[in-house]
Amino acid sequence: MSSSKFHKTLYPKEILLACIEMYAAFLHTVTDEDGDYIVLTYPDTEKKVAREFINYVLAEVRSHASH
Amino acid sequence: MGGITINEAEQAVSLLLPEATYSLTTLYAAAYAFLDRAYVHLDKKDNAFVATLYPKQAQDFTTLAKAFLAELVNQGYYFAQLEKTQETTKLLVERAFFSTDPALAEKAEQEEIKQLLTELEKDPELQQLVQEIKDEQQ
Repeated sequence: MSSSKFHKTLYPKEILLACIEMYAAFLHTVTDEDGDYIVLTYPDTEKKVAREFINYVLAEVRSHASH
Repeated sequence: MGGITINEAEQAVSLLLPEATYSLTTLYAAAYAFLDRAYVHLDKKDNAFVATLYPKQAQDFTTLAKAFLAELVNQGYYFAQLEKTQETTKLLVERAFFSTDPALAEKAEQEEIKQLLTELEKDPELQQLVQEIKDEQQ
């Protein structure tokens, strides 16, 4: 089981939630909040898929930031 | 090199990047440029950003970190130049559009004249001058 912490000022919550929805077929996530962070836990996911998800989120965040 | 931490267990390298030096836009752009080479995770720690790179293929961590720093400088320069030349670019694009349709230039000119007249009407010195001229004529 792995997890990722996303700082809210770097990864806006609405974008992150949209990404989770988009990846729902490949990635089962448990979402939690911890202060400035949104914590995602991946109970049954390969590390590689979780990391691909991190890159996808970053690409989406960057795309929204440049508009 | 200060600011670079290698985590052998996680097969990752982290860079501590002061917020005062690197803008968030620059960081996003550099991270985006690295998506094909590494999995990139961003974080914040005190007054600095932390970029963690998990290389997709085995490679030297320090070399990867240095390449990321070079990309940051590259993107930072790009955005600085973009800001500097924004007005000139806008003028050139406007001119290009106007040259294809003279009616647009005429319309913009009329708008500008209208705006200038409105500004002048608000000027108290000018209002006084107009009043003096009117008084002299009477």
